[in-house]
Amino acid sequence: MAKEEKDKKVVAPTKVDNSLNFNNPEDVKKFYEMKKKKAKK
Amino acid sequence: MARGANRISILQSAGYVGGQKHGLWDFIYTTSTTKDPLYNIGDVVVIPSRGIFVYSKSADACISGQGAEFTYTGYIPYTEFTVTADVGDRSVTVPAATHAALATDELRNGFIWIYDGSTNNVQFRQILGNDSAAANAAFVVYLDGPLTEAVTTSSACEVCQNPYAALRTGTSASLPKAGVPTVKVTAANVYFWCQVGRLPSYAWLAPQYTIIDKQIGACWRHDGTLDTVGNGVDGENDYVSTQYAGHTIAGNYEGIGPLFQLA
Repeated sequence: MAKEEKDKKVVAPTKVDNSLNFNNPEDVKKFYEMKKKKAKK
Repeated sequence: MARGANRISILQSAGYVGGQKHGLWDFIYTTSTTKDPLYNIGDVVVIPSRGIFVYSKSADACISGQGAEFTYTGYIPYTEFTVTADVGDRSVTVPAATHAALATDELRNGFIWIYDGSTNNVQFRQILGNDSAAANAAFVVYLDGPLTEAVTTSSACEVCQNPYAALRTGTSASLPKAGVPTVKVTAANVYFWCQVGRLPSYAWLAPQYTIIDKQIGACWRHDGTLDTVGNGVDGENDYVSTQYAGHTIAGNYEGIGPLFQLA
């Protein structure tokens, strides 16, 4: 892959990413909800 | 046991070569069913040019020529506070939850995570000691530093004892390894010294869902959270670097913490 293409890929990811964004309060809340649910099990 | 800070002793400090005909650290080769009054689980002894040793307790037998693994999974899972605390307070009341009867300062050298319920500004503190409590009752823990944010009824906590409280010979690829026992340990509930590769550096870091099961080592993601080593070395992953962050000691994405050893 040419260097320019590689650089472009880093700036604009194309893969779908299911990870949580811990900078986003909505995602953090999802994490806490998951913990709460697991704790009750 | 008394309340107090995690102890690190550096024997023969400055690395002087002693003229003794026998070592000054025979105690690291001992086992006992009685706790040494000088040390608490998680205390560290550093012997220059010999190694780093952590005072530990067995969950089962430990073979001295194989790695011992952490079996500890936590004391209190995610539970919301019922008693508030102010900035500057050095203790919090852990809410009632399912747990065994608790002796005074049994959780010394353990950890508490204090979540605010809406952001990832987690207050992670070491526990200096605790009040005794009946099974399942609320109890007070004393912290190694003051609260920097108030605890409200929207906040929640997780609590764990020091994970060196439950080691055994390695049996599972899903359990993190602690180090190597200095001597053979024949049963559970025996105090001994475990040699480790580096000083413990316990931390909290947000884990991605991938940090579970055998994914114990972790690499840094672009946003400072934790992802797997596999994703870190995968050139196709746009978010995870090859920088090794450390490894999980106890818990995982779905459990407490995780309690994390920074690299």
